[in-house]
Amino acid sequence: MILGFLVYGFVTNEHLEWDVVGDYLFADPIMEGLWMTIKLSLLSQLIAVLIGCLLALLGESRNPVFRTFVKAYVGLFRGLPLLVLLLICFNAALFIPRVGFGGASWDTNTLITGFTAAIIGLSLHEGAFMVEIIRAGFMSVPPGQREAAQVLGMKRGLTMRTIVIPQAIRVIIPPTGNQFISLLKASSLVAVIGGGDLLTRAQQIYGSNFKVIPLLMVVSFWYLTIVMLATLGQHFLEKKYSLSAGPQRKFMKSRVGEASK
Amino acid sequence: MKQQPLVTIRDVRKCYGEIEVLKGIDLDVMHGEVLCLIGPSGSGKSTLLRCVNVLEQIDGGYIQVENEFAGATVKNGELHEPSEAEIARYRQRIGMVFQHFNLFSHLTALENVAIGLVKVRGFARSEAVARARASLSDVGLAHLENSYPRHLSGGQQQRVAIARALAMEPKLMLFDEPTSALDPELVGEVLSVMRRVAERGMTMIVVTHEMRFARDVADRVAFMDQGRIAEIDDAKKLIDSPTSERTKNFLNHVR
Repeated sequence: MILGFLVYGFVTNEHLEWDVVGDYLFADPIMEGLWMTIKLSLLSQLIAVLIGCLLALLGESRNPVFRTFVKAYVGLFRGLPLLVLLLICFNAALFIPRVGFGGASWDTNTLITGFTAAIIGLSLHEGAFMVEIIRAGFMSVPPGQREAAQVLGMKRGLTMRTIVIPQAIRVIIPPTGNQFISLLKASSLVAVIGGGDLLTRAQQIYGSNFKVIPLLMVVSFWYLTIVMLATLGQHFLEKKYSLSAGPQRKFMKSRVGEASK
Repeated sequence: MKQQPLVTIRDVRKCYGEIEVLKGIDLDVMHGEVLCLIGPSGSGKSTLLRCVNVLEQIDGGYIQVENEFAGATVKNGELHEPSEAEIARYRQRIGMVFQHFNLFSHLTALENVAIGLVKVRGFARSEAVARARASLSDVGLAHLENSYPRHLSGGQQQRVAIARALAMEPKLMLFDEPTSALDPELVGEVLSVMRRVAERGMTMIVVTHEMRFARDVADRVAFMDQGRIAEIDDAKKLIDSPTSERTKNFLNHVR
């Protein structure tokens, strides 16, 4: 009953200006912003997974220097608020004026745009969580599995590729999906550094026409839509990789099939 | 049985921190011999087995299989710590069966057997599959080749594990309490597979609590106690008429 009144009040509230919402829902700048949000999230997630894999493997290493480095990375980038990290990345030129490898070097200011700062900040932040998720995945594989691989004569790298990673994937996928969904939403923080994402574009529009609430409604609509799509995708992946459905990749499926004919 | 040792174990010592779990083991296992290791838990049987294929590093003495040192290589007449590849190559001549089977849970029975052939021995997939099939039907499980380990009974899992080890054509098979994790009614099927392997002349070291198996299948039985071999003799002789008090005591307890 109360809920009904609330919804009714919400729908009929004239300050929401639903016609304005309709006007801007598919407006070009909003579409560009939406695309940028998706691009930022996907790219950062991809880099974060790479960081996560690399550092999780380094964390397994016997060299204590590597293990300490991994701990320091996770501690630092998981501890820093994302907003602070983004601002630091965006203003990197203030404390690192030039970057270079070997003979070549570039002015940091030309390299760091809103976009690159956003990618770097989001990736570093997300990477810290991915390291932990991937490490937990590796640890979920019972030690007997590695021993069984070793006594067959497999080396550590091969054991990792053929035995540990395919089993760890199942444990890694669900929390990674959750991480990606929070990254989608957290990417709106790049609005403070002009990342050109969905929220940035909406802010630019309502900065000039003062239709604040309708544009925030547009933004909300799109965030809810992409989060819903990502959730669907996550369900699909979880099903595909879950234990009950059997393994995802048959290392010799097709050949076995041929041979049995 | 050829009178030539396949496995030579000399004065092997192993410590976990302060505790010495192997206190100088001397043992030869001949080509084609079946040796059972029996003894109370904590006597070092499994540790000795794991030292033979370098799942544990020994702290003293040496172990040789086919004149290759376990966990050491000889270069210019001196012993060196082996590289990972050398350990892997050393292990290829040894098959191992674990108490808890340790089948690869993401692979079917057939893939479990074939993966070592493809990834380690470098067989073409079709040939690996053919061999894996042969190995599976050898343990009576050809009809279950597409089952995943979690859909198999403990006895079936252990038979797949034996097939997986045998497919690699090892010179020596190590069994680490292969029936201890099984329901009593499933023990028989695993033991009969092991018996067949023994009859074909495979050299085997078996850690077991199955005294009837040890008596009937093994050539010799070694009784281990507190990190030492307390008594070693012909299987029937040791089990039917042990000489040391400790062996008698132990055998009375397990019977």
